[in-house]
Amino acid sequence: MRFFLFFIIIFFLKDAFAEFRPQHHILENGLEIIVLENNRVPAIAHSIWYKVGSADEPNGKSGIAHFLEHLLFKGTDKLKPGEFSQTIARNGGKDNAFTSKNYTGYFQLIHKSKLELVMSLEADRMKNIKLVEKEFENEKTVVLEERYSRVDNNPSALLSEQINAALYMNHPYKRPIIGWEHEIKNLSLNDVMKFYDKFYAPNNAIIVICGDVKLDEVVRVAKKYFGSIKPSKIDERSWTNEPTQHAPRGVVLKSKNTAIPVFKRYYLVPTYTKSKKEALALEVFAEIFGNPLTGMLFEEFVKNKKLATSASAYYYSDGFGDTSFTISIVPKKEVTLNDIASHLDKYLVEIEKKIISSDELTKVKKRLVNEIIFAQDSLYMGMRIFGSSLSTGYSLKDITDWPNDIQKVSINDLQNILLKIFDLNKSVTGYLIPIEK
Amino acid sequence: MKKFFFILVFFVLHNFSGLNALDVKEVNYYKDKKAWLVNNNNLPIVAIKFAFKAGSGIDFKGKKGTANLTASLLDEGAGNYSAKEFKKVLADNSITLNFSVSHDNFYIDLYTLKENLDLSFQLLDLALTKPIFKLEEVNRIKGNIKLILEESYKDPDEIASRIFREVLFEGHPYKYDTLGVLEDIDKIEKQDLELFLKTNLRLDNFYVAASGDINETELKKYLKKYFKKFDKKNKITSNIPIHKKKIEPKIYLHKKDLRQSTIMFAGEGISRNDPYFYPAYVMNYILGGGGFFSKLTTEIREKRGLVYSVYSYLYRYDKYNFFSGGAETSNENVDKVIKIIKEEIMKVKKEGVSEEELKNAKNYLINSYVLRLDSNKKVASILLNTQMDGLNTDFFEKRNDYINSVSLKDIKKIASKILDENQIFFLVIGEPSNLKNISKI
Repeated sequence: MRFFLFFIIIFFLKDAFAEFRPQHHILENGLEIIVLENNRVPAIAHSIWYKVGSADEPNGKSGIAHFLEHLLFKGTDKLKPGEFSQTIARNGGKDNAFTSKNYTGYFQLIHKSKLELVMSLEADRMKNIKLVEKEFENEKTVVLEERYSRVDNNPSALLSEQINAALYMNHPYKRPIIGWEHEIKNLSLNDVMKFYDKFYAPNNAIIVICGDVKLDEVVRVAKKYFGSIKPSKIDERSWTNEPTQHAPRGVVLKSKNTAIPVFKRYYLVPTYTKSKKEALALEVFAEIFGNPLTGMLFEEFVKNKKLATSASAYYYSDGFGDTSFTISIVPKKEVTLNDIASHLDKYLVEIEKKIISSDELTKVKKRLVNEIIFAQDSLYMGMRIFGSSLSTGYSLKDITDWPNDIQKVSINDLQNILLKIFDLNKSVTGYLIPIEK
Repeated sequence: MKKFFFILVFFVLHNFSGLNALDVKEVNYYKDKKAWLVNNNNLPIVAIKFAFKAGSGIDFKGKKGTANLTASLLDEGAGNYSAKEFKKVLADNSITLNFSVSHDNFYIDLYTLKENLDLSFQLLDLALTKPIFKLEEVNRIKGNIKLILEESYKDPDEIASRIFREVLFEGHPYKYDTLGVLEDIDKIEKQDLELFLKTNLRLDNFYVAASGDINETELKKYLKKYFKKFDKKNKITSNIPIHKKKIEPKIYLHKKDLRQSTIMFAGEGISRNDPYFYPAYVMNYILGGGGFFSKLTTEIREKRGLVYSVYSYLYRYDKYNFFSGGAETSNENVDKVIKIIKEEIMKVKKEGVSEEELKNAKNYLINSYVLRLDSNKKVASILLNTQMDGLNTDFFEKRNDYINSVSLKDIKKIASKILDENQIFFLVIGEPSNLKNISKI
């Protein structure tokens, strides 16, 4: 992510839709096109999503997907380094990009009359980036500085990185998206270009446009610029699975750079693509249990037992294989992180019996479904939801059916999933402990 | 080759005249009070932003943090709703209702489905007029605030912004965090919160802007019903003094064992009403405001790979304007980065900017404005800020001309006033090597 890195996808992203009416087309070379019409302003959010992220990196080459994202701004046969963004800006547009575990996305926000410009530029850099050693080494230090800012100087991000590396014992999700410092330093121009040639192709990409534009027009322009690009042989994505995990793990990070102790507990749970039914139940449960203002955890730890100043939980349904269900609690001054851990373990015993009535369930589901309407109140959000979902294994139908699917989640579904997810053997507990100098 | 030609053709630009013309209505809801409205029925959503001119800057000595604590507690129980019930009724109806303060203002953000607009106003009214301030909730929120204030002595970014304020606003109430002062938080009592509301929630310092599925009649009805009660007889005026600060061109260092240092800098800024405001705005875009290819980013990131981000901006408080910026870089490069920032600033001061840079900047600033208007939230914010800047609704028609009329000469003139290395200080948090002539702080 050139200017802002989403380590975490905003949790309600998955929860938006109903009224979205996506239009769809696939070019002969496999390039998928999604158009979400929105006529509020004469502008578009134009984006291209490559189905490749940090989880697709070769062993020992962590950070390559994100590094490559930076390099796509460093020129092609036709454009000088930096000229891509300069051109966008001169035409009144903003552009940026982001990398996640499963995808790399590039976008431009711009006047609708510039559709042809942005498509021609994206088509150009799908295959034609041109790099020289000097540019490459220069950008490497930029990426390292990005890592120092976001992770090494930030205790809470550092803790999450350590927990994540412990949570996954065998799946590539254990690697940080931005990469390990020593591996970033060792990346070569050849490594990156090999990765680029392998994964950047029309049949491994999705164009998502939200804005004041028609599908016909988009398809016409897409054919003109992307149509001649040959598809590549892309292997079906598959990753090493997690083995049975037999023991709880713990991570303790002591830091001089914070005054706030934090308790974290990550459980390994299924993604949407692994188990749709369980994922939907988890999305609903995360709202009931983990909403930072109204959730059960907040009530128990902050209001009733007065052990904490904040308590929340999140579930990220994106991805392939397993993902994490995350609990975060900040204890009150006189309370230790061990106190939090032991109370949490007590509280989670028979949690399935503590969940709410069906009347409450209806209200919570409505909250989630309403997010669909709010998500349409900007060009960026629709683009982001469809792009990230489609490149992490959701079908278009999965996305548009989501509100109905959420409505179907029953108390029984919640109880079934709760019997399984809070298994300590599949968890990592993280402590962030402030220390003096 | 053919494609290349095509791309070049695109470089020839046209401006979209009338692009930004927002249809803004002034809604006169009570006496001479007017709200700004953009009615848009694309979605059944309403965004309304409210502001009272009363922020943390007016907190009393010994009670620093009163404004923020009041704002933080308004949704922790009101009327017959306990804190839990209040939060739950908001969540179950998908209503976002936030209260916050800056140094100058008290803000309310309302974001709701049209169908819940009645309920939203009822809840907002309860929060403003019948907050409970239950001791238990007060103490809980105080605990949260104190924790964040403690963080400003340990977290590198928080330390940087605290010391930056202490240097820039020395001797002025703006030097305190909007959250207040650690030792004062426990001294703030329930009657202080009530006094804050009673004194400062008043129609003569009130601003409203709305966007979305709400028409003039509806907006007028709600505002009259719920806000006319804040019409108060005795006028009060802000007691925040104008901040006058002669900046010394020092490099302050706060030593901390970190991998990477944080650098901040600041100098004199410019008032929104200054005839040279637009030249300054365009100049800052070219120097350090414009993302990927500002002068600072080009020199420091693109050419030398020394930073991930480097930026500058113009900032306005009611009683002080400043020009500021920052960067983060490995300890061994701090001296280099500071040197280049100074050089670039002085180059613009001496030489101004090029014709091409000015043309590119205008193209961006004019043609990208529409991108700020794609959501109700963003539109409501822009309407509120424009109104509070003392501008009229015709601003949206005139803005492009203001930017278009900026000349190279204008930029040179304002650069020679604002950009002066003898009036810019630097602050470094970290463990820089090779940095000379520093003042420890």
